Amino acid sequence: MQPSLSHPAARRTSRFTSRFASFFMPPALLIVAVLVLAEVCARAGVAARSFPAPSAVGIATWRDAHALFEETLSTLFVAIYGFIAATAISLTLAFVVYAVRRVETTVMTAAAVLSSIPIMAIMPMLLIWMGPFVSTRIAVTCLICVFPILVSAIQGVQAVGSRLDELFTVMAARPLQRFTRLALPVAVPYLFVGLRVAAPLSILGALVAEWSGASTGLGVLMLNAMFSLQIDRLWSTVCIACVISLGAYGYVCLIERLALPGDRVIEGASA
Amino acid sequence: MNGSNPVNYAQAPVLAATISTDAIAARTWQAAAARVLVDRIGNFVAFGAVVCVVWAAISYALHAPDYVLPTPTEVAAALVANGGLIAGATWLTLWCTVVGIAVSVCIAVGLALLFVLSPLADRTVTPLLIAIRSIPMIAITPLVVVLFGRDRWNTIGMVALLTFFQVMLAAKRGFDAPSQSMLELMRTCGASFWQTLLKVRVPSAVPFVFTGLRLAGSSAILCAMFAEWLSGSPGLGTLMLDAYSKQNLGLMWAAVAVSTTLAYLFFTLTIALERAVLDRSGT
Repeated sequence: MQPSLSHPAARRTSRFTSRFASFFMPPALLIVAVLVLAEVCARAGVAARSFPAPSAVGIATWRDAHALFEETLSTLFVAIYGFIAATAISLTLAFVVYAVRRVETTVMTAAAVLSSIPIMAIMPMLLIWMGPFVSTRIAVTCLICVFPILVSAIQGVQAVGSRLDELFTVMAARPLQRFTRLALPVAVPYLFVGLRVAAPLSILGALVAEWSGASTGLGVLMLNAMFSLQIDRLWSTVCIACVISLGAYGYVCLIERLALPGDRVIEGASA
Repeated sequence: MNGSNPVNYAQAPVLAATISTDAIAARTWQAAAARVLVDRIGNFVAFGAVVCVVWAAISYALHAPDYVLPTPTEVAAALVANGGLIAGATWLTLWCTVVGIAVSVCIAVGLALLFVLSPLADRTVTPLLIAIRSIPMIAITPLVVVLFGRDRWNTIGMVALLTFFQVMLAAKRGFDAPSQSMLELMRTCGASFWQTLLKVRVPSAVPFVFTGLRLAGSSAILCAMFAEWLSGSPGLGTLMLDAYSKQNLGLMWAAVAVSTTLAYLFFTLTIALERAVLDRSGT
């Protein structure tokens, strides 16, 4: 064994890097292989027209970088405000359910039915009722995000142990105090499960709202590219949408890791 | 079942909220599943009745013009008058959804099997799948429209794409669920790879697959309607778009009501199926 590796710290680092490499190398190699294959097929002319060369997509992205950046910001703006509104509504409803246990079934059924309404169908009505403003788009985003957040928030406030509950009764806590001092801290890990699911959905909500009538946003660029069959542009907008969805997911995960001690994070499938 | 419980895997909050605890206490798996169905449909009917009453009150009190809010009677009349049209569109949407799910389950389970055979493929693809799963697939509909054309294949492809990742990860988890001692026992008894697969891995994977199906099935119908709406292939989504562009708002609202009911019923069915399979397999 080489002397540099015999040092415990060095050995630990090398083990760490080798594990890191063995986890990330195969997927990275696969991505590179697929990209190279797509490039070769497109250059050779055997690929279908709807699969452009990755380099062409890259060039299209670079050429439109300025417009793409601005439209993406506009989409992100809608997504973030919709996400915040959905969180606020969910917490309010969770407070109601926590204060009046009996309404739980009603709230859950209402939420489940509302989440079954096809958004693109009521989008024109929302445009008539609320006008073609940014607030309408935020409302649609909020509507799409609210269900997973609400379910996890209600599950969270119901996870309060009965002994703590009794303690707060003994101390004569008011409903609001009970909610903010007891139920919310207990609910936060559960809440983050819903927030993790809703973060990519908020991007989706903003895109859908833009598809059904808006003048700015990534969704508008996407539809324009689809209708005018500009395949490179379509791929570049779709890739950006995927990247910002993943970014939103990663951002919420990061905040969760920072906000909670590791043992309170609830791992699990996304809905 | 080997200490591994699909319900733990699916700590999705939806589960706890939608499968009521008294349903679990029911005696047989048929009864539990039927209980879930009846409970949820009952809630839906009650909620629908309340919505209709409130809606009628608002629309009669405001005397709103029907492009803002038609009355429930107008919508009901449109539903009766266009019954055949709506039923045909509903059938098409449902057919595309079910075919899409069937296709994706076949491919997903097949690929999951491949990953049992080859750990290298598993290590290569699984991290990517986990990342892709959190992308909302509806966001890439425009691309799918270009790839699959504007036919009903587009709808099927879209539904398949939506359900694929969820089912595939669930199936993989299911195939990996049997404990090491279980697999060693099979090896000691001289079982071949395929015997181990059929007798141990497949039975343990079934409940997981149904959990994955429930997670994906909640939005499958809505996704199918989205695909139709954007691509113009026939179905409920296109019916709604056409009705709106012809300003036939009674028909549009009738289609919205039918599609909401359809999506809710489909979701309820997947929950009941999952319940039945989980109870049957004793988890």
